[in-house]
Amino acid sequence: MTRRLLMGSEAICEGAIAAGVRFYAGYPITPATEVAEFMSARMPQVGGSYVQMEDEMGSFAAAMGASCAGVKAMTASSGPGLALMQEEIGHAIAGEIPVVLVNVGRHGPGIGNATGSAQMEVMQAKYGPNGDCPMIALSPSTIEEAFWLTVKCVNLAERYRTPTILLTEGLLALQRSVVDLPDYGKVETWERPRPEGAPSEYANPYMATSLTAVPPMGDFGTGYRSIFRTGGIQPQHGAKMTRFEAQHFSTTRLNQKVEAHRDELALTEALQTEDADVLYVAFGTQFHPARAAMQMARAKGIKAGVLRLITIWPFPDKAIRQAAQHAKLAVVPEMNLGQLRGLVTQALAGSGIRIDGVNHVNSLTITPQEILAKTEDMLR
Amino acid sequence: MRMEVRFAGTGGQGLVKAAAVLAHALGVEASYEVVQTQFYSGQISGGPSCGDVVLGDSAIEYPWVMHPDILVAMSQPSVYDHSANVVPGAKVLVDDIMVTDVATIPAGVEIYWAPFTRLGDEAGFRKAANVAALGVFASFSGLLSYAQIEQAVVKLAPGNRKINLAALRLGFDARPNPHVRKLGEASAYVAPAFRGV
Amino acid sequence: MSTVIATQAVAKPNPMANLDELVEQYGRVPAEHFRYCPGCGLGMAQSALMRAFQRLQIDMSQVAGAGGSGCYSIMGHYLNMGVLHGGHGRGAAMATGMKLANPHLTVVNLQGDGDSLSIGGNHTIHAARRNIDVTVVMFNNFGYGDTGGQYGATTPKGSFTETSPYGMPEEPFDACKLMIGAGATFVARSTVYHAVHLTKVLAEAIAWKGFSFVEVMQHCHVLWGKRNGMPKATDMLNYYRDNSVFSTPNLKREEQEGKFVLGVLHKQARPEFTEEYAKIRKLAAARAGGQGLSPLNTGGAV
Repeated sequence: MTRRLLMGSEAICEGAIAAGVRFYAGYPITPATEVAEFMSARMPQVGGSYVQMEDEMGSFAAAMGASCAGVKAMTASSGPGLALMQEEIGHAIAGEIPVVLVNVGRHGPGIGNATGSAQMEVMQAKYGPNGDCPMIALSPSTIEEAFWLTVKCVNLAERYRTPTILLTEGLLALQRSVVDLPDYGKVETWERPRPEGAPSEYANPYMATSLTAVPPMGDFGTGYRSIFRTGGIQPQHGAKMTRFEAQHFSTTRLNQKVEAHRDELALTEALQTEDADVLYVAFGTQFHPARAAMQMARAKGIKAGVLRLITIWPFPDKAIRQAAQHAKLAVVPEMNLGQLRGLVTQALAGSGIRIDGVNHVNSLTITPQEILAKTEDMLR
Repeated sequence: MRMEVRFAGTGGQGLVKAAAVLAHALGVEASYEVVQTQFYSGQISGGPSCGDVVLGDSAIEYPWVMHPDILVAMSQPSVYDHSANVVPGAKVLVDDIMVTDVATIPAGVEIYWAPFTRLGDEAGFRKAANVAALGVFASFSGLLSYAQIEQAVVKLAPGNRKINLAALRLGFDARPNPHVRKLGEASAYVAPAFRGV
Repeated sequence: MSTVIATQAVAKPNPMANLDELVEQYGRVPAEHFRYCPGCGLGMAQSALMRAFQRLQIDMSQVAGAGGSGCYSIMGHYLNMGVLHGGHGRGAAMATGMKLANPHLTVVNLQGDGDSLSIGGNHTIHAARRNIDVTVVMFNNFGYGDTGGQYGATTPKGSFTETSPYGMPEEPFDACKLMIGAGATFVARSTVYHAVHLTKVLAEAIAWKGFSFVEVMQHCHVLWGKRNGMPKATDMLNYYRDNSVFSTPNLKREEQEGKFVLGVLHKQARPEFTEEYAKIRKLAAARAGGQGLSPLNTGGAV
């Protein structure tokens, strides 16, 4: 254990290194630049590589290339950069190439306020790329958690052979706190499934035997000559299929391989939700005001509870329904105009629970007082 | 125990750095729990900027500064910007040449004039004012020994060590002057509109 | 003709080498059929590329390819190497990632003229600037073939395409000049008509330490040729024969006018990126004092 003052961005980098990331390609963008700065110093120290690419598409593409060469790869960006990367994210999903993307949220649309934090990439993270895409996106609330969720993002990207997003915010990435870092040798790391048979028997990296299978991936230079393709119809297992059946199978499988594990992927933290009349659903940095509001409400005799979403995608709708069992109303504090609220409304459809939000798009964190005021207003 | 500290001023004065050094001193050299946050505008220098530290003896549940217990104001605009956030019982340290008007600071708040910028000049470099402010803060608050804050400066501010340590020593030994309010100055307490960062 | 080309001391190519053997070792035969149009220059270019690998006796398990979108992009599937067939134009960036992550790989980036000069122009010129040891093979077919023959950045002025029904109003890029300007350390051009020469420059480019760029004039008689009075593959091959001139030190300006200048046009060694980066790794590891893997202060980076 090493006790030291760590910036959010630094915790993310250290988490990546602990999880085995050895390649970083990036393009500067506020407020994700610090990730690139730390990585430029750290990657060569641990025998990895850092390269500053010419744009965000290039950054993600270089990370994909490195991943195919067998090295765990990462990139980071923020809203406008994430928009540019969507093409490559879609390609990585289609080609089943593990890459970790750190998105440090900022105010938008457009350039917005570059130094202003926000949580505006909730929907962009999942629905940005064209086509039906699975997505795994995790969101940390504290710096220590940023370390561990980065490890998790790397591990999940490898296990499921799909890009994952660490959905964080300027507020957290630029925060500093004292963190106890573990011995990196003891951090659990997962590897992508790799082929075991003779190279001559290896046909391609998409030989799936079922709709939920993650087929083995032969890295370049290992003798397994993989053809990674991000387009066309992925060739499938030996079963005889028409082109149309194969297209259906491969598109469905890309989604099913993640969807089938929804229960273990959808992580949440519930605080006093067992008897809650009022449910606060929050994620990332806005968990803190929600928790403070819960304590203030409880002190006033209002039975409030908080459900913190650690996983944003796949969306933990089951956990929300579970936490809202006794709830009469739900309040969703978030730093956008209601992206999460829409998802919560969808999850609680037909329950009769009244749902409202506290929304900030001024980059100032939501205060517990505002959440409490909204609660009292709704209870009135 | 929870205490909120804010260094406010103009971009370029090294306020975020000061907050980071303070957080290290409190969290690593001493054994408080700390969270350090910041706010700055797009410009590299010249815009409003502040570095915040929240410290406590148990895990900090709310990481942002709501009402600073100690506000270090290094520029006139920062006094205007943050006056509404300080509540009675708080202490405000203002730079004695960069700030002239403290009338907006509510009654019940103790105001002290401190020579941050002048101490920076005396140490040989005006921009060492932030390090001088750290020295002033350490002795003024009584939270840190000289050795602890010195260690943090050496580790996190590896610039010109000679000037930095000179400024730190000068700051640590300085005694800020309490401000005596003129009659009628900020007599009415204005309920603060909360402005988080 | 071939005496004027810059050559390296390599064995003389044998154009009559057994094709089956070549394909077996360096190529991959598709399950159904080759998806090149009959007479397409891509087949000729692929055979030259395979022969280049053969001349260099390259272990194909250590070759990685990157490619984007275009008629040529299927070629990666027909070569016996690892391939990442990704987004349109991102080939150079993907190749940069592969080479930097594993410098032992021989990385070949197949590109179309749309990839290199339009959508992925930025990636290609920056790869050239970095001088990363990647070979970019650009197939120039005068436009966008995969989408049905629209004009592109290489379409000759005045020629007819799907989207220039009144004649192309714009000037084309000279891809080789662009790459020389961007800092490529090896730049060459050849055509599929000059198959032996093409093999030679491809082999030289792959063996080159640093960024190498080869523009392969590869005809599309189906889309471009048909609309410009050259409907047969042989028409276009003759067009290349009649309109090419080999680069020599004494080649006069007027002799180049309106011609494709073939040969190795630029060759100037410069430190290679992955080797330079290896030095950075050493430096960083030394500064970390062997403590790289323990949580380390980066020296107050912020």
